[in-house]
Amino acid sequence: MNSLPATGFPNPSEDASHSFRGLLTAMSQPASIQPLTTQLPSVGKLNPASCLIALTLVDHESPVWLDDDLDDETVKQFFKFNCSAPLIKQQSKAMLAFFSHCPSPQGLANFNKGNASYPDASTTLIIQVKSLSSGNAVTLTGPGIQTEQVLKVDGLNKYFWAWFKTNQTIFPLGNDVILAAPDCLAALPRTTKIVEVS
Amino acid sequence: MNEIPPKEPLIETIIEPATQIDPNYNFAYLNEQTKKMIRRALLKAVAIPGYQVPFAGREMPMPYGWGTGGVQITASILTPDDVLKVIDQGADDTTNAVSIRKFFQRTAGIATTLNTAAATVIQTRHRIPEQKLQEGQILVYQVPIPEPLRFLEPRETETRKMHAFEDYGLMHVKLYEDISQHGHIATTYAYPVMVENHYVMDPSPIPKFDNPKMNNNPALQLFGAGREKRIYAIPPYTKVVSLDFEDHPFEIQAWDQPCEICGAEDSFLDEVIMDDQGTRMFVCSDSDYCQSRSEVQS
Repeated sequence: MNSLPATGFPNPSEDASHSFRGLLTAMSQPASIQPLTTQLPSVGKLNPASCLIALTLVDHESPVWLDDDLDDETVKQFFKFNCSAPLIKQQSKAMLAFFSHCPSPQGLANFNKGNASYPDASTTLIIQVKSLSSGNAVTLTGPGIQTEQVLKVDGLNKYFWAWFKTNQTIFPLGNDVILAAPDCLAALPRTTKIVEVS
Repeated sequence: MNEIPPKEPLIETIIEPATQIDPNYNFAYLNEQTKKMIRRALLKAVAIPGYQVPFAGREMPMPYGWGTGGVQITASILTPDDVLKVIDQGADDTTNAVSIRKFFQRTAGIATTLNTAAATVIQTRHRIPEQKLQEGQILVYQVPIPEPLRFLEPRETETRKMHAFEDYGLMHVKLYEDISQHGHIATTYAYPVMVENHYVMDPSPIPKFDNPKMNNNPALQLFGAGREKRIYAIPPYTKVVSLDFEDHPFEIQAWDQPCEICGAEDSFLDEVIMDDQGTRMFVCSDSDYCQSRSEVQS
């Protein structure tokens, strides 16, 4: 018999409500650091923040794509058992995509960017990073940010911000990004603009 | 336009504490899968300010037109720690507001308040509170018709394209027709706004008096249309501009007299008929604003 898959939220309704408010705050105040509202263990290479996002947003109506490192039995079991998620290989059909580490721009090219009539059809990218308290600083602005917001990220490759800049040029199309560190998360919606990358 | 002065702080803030949840309901009425679906739509709405995200609106235990869209959003964002305020045309004590407040007391055991500053989530029908909102607060609007172009172009396929191409000439023609007929823009509520230089959005039937409050507001503004099954949003600190013309700039309503209860000169006034002789009285539509001003004075 297979081992039992990792469990979900201890108090499903209450825990999901708190973690969603964190995500909503993250998306409406881009680059703000949101703590993880429930302590969850890692599942394979899926870190606690990614687990929290999965348990909060994923269900049988939201096809999920996993990168090669996450595409193992433990993680797939977690998504199937806790979220009833359809796990798919076709990037353009994914509603949410989980990355164990920052992909190359080519690795992001084929995800759904939405279409002119329905820009909300785009894939939301959840990218795991090492830390959101150290690393290179980037200054951001846009809706949700009063003046400017500085974000420190350790774990994004050198191509990411160039990709993110091109992502803005196709607004209202584009992908929204959630950065998932082991102990916190932050969001970069498609409206966020880069002021300076140090 | 006059700046709205900050309200005097109340001596005590009245919060009705959390109550027991009716055990026959899941927290905040909706099931968890429905909440996930609405939550995904909400994140998209925030990421594309002013764009209408379709969602699989559920039937709620109240008729369409009574705030089913707003209630579904509120149910999906509430946590047990929230303090909820519900207003209808600015007032906490009208049927719609009382019913929705009771609904969440029963199904979410949520703490409630009449005080704007004490609330973390405010569900509103057709007003924005007079008191300035703060960072971290969420304003949930009930929306009847989310598509500002609907009465100009009935086909959804076409209005989707018009939004995509930012083809808003028709809306300007409509406002221009107002000017040619009446000499001024006669639209007084649900006055169209442009969000972050792209999407033209229906601000729900708030009076145009409230439109300037949407611009650069520190609070998150969420809009739910239950019958039409659309969700849209304005993140905090987002540019919201009311449509107008250079020679006919946007203006808000003004009154010749202050509120007859609290004397406010900066708030939206309702006309109340006092008797069958035609006597009338103008009072604040925002009941919390009016009451707290009266308390400070007495």
